[in-house]
Amino acid sequence: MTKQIWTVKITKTGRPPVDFIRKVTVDLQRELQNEIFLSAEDTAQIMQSILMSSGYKLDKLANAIKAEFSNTEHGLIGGIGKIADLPKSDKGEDYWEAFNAGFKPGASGTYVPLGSFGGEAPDSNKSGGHWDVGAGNWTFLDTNQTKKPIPPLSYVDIGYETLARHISKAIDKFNKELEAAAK
Amino acid sequence: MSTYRNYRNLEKSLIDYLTAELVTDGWEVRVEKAFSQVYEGTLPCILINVESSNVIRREVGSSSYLENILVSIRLFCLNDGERLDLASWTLSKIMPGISYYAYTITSGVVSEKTLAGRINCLEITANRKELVNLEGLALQDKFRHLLSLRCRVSLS
Repeated sequence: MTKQIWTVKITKTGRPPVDFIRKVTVDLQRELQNEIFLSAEDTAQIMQSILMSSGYKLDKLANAIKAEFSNTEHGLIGGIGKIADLPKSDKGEDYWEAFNAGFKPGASGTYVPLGSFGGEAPDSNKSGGHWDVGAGNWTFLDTNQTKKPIPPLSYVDIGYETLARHISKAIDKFNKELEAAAK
Repeated sequence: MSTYRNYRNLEKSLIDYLTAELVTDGWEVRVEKAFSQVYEGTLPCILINVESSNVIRREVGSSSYLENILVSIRLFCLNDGERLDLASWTLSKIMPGISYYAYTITSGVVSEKTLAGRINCLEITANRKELVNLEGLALQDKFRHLLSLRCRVSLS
């Protein structure tokens, strides 16, 4: 009887084992990166659609929310909606955070966001009269309007949840393929 | 007579539970469901909302489903210290899981509630100060904290 030395026997026929593992790893890594990229694109679209359908005339903000990736020496780094690239009002104020969280316009004559945003007319049926129509501009919040609170859109948190779900699915798929390749 | 469906049952169960626990622990905090109501009373205040849900099959080919529900708990406080204390207190109360009730409504008022399961928090997806740029904000918006929880209801 031949004595069995190895539980798993590696022979030299076909592709050398180290090359095989390297190829499988590289292929799956590429596939996982592709899945993550598609997930980020999908997430950005969901965030955009929440902003576009809000009725608050946030098209400019929605269009600035993009999934971006770059290959660095530390690996693939990416994100959605780079804060530095998000639009500001004509008074230079950020407004992405305020609409995500919801807010009440201040009582002292200052408002968040303050200023005009340009573009097309807002949908008067949707945003509850939170703007004033100026010459060539559509101002968000009018000093004469009732200072009603603007409820949160939560587009960042819903986006995060969407991305986490997609990535979890992609990793599950990746693990299954890795297991299948190892057999 | 009507009944709430699961999202409203979840919101109302959380509101009732936190309201009772706040009284027991000596906090004077309102718990609200509508965003506009936060601005109509005193601080501090807790706002509870179901934001979205993700429904997945329990297993391949199964017709039963699992639903993960994203719940936002917003804390509106008077100062930063209170914000941190209330956030910590809220998490300590919710993390062990809470009872889920099915509510019956008669003439717009809750007439009956029946224990129907348990709400389990699977993950905290956000635990942070919500608004950082404070300039021009109303008092209620100056010290806000966001807790986003991924929850699942297990029916009994």
